[in-house]
Amino acid sequence: MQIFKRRTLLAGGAAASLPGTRALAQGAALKEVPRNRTYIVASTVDGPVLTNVNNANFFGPGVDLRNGMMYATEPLFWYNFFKDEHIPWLAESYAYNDDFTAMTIKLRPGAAWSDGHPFTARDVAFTYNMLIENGRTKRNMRQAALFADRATRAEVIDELTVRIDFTRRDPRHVFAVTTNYFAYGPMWVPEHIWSKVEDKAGFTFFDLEKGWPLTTAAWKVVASSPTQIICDRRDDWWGAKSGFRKLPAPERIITVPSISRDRIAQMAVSDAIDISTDMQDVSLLQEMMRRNPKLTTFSGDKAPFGNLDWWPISLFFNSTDARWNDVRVRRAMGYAMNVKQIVDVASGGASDVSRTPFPNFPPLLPFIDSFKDIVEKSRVSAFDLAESERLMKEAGYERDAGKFWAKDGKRAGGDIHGISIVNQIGPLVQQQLRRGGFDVTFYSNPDSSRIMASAQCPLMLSGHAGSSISDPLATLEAFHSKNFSPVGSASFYYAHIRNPDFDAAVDTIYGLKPGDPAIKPLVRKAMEIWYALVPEIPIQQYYHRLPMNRTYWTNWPSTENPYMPPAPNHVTTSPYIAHMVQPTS
Amino acid sequence: MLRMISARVVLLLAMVWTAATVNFVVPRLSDRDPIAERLTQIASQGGGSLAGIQDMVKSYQARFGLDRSLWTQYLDYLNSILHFDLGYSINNYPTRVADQIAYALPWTIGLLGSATLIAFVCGTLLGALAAWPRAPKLFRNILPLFMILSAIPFYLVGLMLVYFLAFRFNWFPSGGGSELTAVAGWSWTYAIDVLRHSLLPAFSIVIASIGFWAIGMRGMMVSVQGEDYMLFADAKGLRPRRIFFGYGMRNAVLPQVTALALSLGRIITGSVLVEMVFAYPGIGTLLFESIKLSDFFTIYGCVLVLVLATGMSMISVDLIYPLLDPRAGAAHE
Repeated sequence: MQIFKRRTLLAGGAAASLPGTRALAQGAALKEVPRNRTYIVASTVDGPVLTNVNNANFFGPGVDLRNGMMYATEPLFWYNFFKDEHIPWLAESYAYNDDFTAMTIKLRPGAAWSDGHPFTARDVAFTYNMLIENGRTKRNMRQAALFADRATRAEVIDELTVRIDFTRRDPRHVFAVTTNYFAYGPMWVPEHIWSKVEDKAGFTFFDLEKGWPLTTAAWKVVASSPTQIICDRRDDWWGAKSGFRKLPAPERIITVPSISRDRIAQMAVSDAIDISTDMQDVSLLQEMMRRNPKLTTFSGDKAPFGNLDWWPISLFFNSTDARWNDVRVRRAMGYAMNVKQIVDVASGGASDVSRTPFPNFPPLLPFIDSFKDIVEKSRVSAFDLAESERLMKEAGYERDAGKFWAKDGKRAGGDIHGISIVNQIGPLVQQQLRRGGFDVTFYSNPDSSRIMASAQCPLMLSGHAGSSISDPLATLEAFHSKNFSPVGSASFYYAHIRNPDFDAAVDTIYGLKPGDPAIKPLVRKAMEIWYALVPEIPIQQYYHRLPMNRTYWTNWPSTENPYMPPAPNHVTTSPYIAHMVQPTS
Repeated sequence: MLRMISARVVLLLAMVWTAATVNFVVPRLSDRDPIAERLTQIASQGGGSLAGIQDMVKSYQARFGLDRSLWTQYLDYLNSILHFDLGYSINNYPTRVADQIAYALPWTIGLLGSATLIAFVCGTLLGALAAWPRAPKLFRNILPLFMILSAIPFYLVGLMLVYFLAFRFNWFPSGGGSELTAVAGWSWTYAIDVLRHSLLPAFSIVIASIGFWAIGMRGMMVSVQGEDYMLFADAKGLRPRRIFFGYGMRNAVLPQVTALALSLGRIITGSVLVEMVFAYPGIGTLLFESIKLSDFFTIYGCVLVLVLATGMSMISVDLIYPLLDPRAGAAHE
């Protein structure tokens, strides 16, 4: 009987008699790169170590490539919502057929993997078909369900052309499935490696000695440990060889854990990092810029100290909870919240009150204008304690001994859960609602994500899943019955509402090409239903507020030059920033 | 002697089994689902959509054996401990728990092990000198300062050191195991960098715990001074240094050694707070993150290491004791 397996704890402990023997061995083989050619990113928050440092499988459940592996990836297309701009990268172009049931993608010639194999239509088709098949059968890979829902198969037409057949008319397919923006979009895998892998969900695609993860990107992973992931520039990158683009300036990208926001501040002020994840705290950002004038934000040293994001924050009612059956109670809670005060206190006024579920992106403003009168009439997000009181009394509630609204001995309210990023506004929301007579308590703990996603709390404070960028569909779909999930099953569609008329309007929009004039009246119709249902109370627009350091690098995205949202937690777009920054010396 | 060692080993095994069982049960008392939590957490922080997540959760529960009955899981767990196979981390799949511990443990042992030993040596010596009538007055006067510092938890001392020495004066790095840009490698530069980063956390532990060792040693040293063998050594005309080290300290240090063994065994748990304050990538950080995310298998691994470390320390004390005090050896004959 084999008592001790090869990988025993004792052997592991002994082998690592100095910190990270493997990391030391990796590091010993690396060349020296000066600081002014090194781009340092503090990527994830809420943890002092990086996770999944030996796994480059983007489709593996639980794998978080924000640890820095993302710099060794490239998309077919990038999308910059500031300019409503589609940026072809590995692909050159795409075209739909006449009825939007298929599309053809043309790839850029000359693209190649880091082992020398050309990047071809076979890789794109393989990735598509792998995910479609997994989505139909095992369903244990990320994005597989999405691919299987929207595509039937991918076919290689020639080395540089691939045809994708859709499951139905899908005029937004390239944007929804094939393009990288924020955290959306796939990573393409090399067919010559992955086709030989049996357990694709469990495949790590990580072995530095073999040169894995293979990449077409301008950087490859050269060292990885829980405290840093290092990607070095590939001077033989296909983009430079083919004349597509110049080699990017950063010769090395180091991603480190940001640990906490006060630690980010220390690191940024001391020039230890060049860019970090979201800070949110406006006063802290201002103090950081005062201490280190080389630090800047997307809007410089002026409000809002960041860039508008697609994640407007609302207080969501879990409609599966009987406490919210009466719309008057939902409305009354809304009137008890002074959202202007929340914005003023939580972000020093450097944000905007939100009265719709949409982000205020310029392309969406005409749609928002189309139902402006409904917003005014509904008085959503208006602060009116008298009206709140009137509605609660009308609904049969009375103040109890603790001054809280109660009916049949049960108080109106419950637990509010939110993830750490809403920690600044959570206590304010709680206090305002308590003053308004609602017995609520705000929680934000490691389990909150799951509690919210599985609808196990009555109220959720969060940003908007699916918020639209240039087309209102994604936000509306968040309230479609198809996204209704029973308590206990995971969903980001926190409101959990169902309304057939709303669904019909959204389904019709789905089949229309973006820009079709028929969309606007349908949006109005859907929003009329939405404001009657009150599935949430909009609070504020969300701004990504993060420091960017001009000590070693310039040409950061800014109000004047908004070439891409800068947040490093946008796993699929952050490599673009690394392509664009320029050294100061 | 052999009987004593055998008895201790049996005791150690019983302790490991008991601790392992408690270790298995306690995290399961929570209704948290680490797989669902991990997947939704990544998705909620910008990792993509939740489409098909229920199927992924089921698939991964099966992969980790979490879909089986609790009893089956417990037997599997005991079997894996018997084989020293700690399995895979849920949070860092497919990294093995043993690999995670192997990475983190040296940081903890390097920092806390050396800091504990330094504090032990300094504190014990200081305590002995404070009780020794022939020692300079300075040692008696300085003791109250360390006693005051010992009342402050080391993580608070650490926070103060970070604020003044790292943030205000910028003399030391504020945290981390090494510079962010430092590439880990076998070089003097990297070794010095690691050492530099360990100074501040080590100071906080040493400053906060010298008083503890000094108080204990002072008390023991006072009590041995009235012993006949001390008078006899003095009457024999032995040199004061010989009497101090060979007769006084040698007899007074025995309870200190027991405490040292327990402290060394406990450094892994004691490291959690200090490692969090200094963002040190040791086993305390690993344990904290694992508990935060309900990574059962990593929690099991970390706690098993703790149990073994404490058990082995106790056995070591039993073996070392007869060398320090022959009476202890004779008692086992």
